[in-house]
Amino acid sequence: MDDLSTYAVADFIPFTADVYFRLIERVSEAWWPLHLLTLGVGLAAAALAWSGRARIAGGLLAAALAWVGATFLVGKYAQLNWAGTWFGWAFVIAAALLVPLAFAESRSARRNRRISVPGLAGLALVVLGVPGYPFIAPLAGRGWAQAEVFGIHPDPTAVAALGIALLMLRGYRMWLAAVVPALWCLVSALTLQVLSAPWAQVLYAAVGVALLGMLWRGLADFGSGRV
Amino acid sequence: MSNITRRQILKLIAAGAAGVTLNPALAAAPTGMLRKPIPSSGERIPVIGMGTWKTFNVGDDRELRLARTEVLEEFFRHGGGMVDCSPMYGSSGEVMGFALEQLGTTEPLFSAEKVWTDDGSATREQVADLESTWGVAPFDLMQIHNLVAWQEHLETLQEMKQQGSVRYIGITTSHGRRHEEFERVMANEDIDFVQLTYSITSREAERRLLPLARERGIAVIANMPYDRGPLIKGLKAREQLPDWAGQEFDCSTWADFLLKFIVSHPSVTCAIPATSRVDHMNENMQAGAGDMPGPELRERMARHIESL
Repeated sequence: MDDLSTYAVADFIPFTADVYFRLIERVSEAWWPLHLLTLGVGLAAAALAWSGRARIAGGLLAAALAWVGATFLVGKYAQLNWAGTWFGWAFVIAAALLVPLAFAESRSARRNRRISVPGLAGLALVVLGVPGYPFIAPLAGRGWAQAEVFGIHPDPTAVAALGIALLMLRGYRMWLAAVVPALWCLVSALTLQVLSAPWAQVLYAAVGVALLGMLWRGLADFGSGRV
Repeated sequence: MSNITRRQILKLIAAGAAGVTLNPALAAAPTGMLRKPIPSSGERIPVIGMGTWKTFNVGDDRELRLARTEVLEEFFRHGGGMVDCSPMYGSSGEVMGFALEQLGTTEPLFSAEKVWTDDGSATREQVADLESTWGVAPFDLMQIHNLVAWQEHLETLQEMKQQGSVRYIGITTSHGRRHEEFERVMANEDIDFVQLTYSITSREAERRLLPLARERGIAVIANMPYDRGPLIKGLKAREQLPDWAGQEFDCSTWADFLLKFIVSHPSVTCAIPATSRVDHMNENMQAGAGDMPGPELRERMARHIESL
């Protein structure tokens, strides 16, 4: 067994920054103007989750996760990183899992209209992941062509998935739905860190906010006897 | 041997000649590139090769594939030979196949690939896949990547070498990992090449592996000559070459300084710096020509780097 201390994170990233950011750009070009639809899907999923219609919200989010897993991660990213296929299938499995989780939540008829810390955390993540994320690339000086969009690229999709999970799910269902998006956010943050992209911190922060919201909700539910 | 190819014969004829390529499109003046012998055969190869980790992994991006083709063309134009790759490097093998097809030749190439699978019975299958990916057969050198399932792969590779399906075989490691096991394989098995990390700031191999390679007649490929890249970037950004370097041997760039240190070691056959840029390729290849430092000067070079 190799001594893990001899490895750097960079040893697991087999491509350079220019190649990765060109991939973001090329995928964007290939699917334009689908972005307008996927952004609409993201906003609709968030609104439906907020209003307690978890079934439709879960279905829309599942479609976005599966699409990004298949087209971006398996279709393109896997050319650069042999682990891309695993990540892609993880997105597809997360999407498949989300559907029964959302259906089970719907039957409990919970609504989430009351403002709470987990609800605000979920909203913040949705705002970041859906309308906010495309602005990161231009703000970082990389131009609109490299803007990352919910339903097209994995980072905003994962961030928004964390937010929507917080808005519409509770208990073990919320935690299960968050596993793959949170892991991807961490993997991508490490990747961006190696590529010297300062917005890696945004993904760490997103996972932190999601974790805070989920723990808060878990403790609140435990205190109120819901769990 | 009945299955020696035209390409192998040409290479043997060309052994010892100074870097004149066989494709008119790549023809250039003799480059003066130093060549060192592979101990197991006497065939001489250029001391500066090319790695592909990260730099050639560009997927199906045609624009970047063409840019990498220019890098390979420059490499051949300077008399380069060994190109090293691995299935672990994403699309690098496919990009190499694309570049070779664009250049329309594999003649100057000394192709070095790796078997990288836990499945010890999949050696032939993976080699066949790699041949198809590169458009090259047989590979000049097939190595076992990081000693993964090395016993099974080595047995098959030895058979394949006997059958002429690969010309040379070897093992690899990097960053000083598994040196004890690496040493055991070197001491006990019949291999032509080892690939390991050796640079002016990573000299662990000097203790046991490089002397053992010399004793056992094994060629040595030095990977990570710039310590993943930051070494030369930092030196270029912050430091001036010492005046004495240019006076004592042919050294006009930090690439000269770092690469000549490596390839002037008597046990090292070649170094394989990786780059995605033509100007950097130029610098790397210049380092394979001209005077090389002797033992005393090499120590002075190492002390100088330590002092920075």
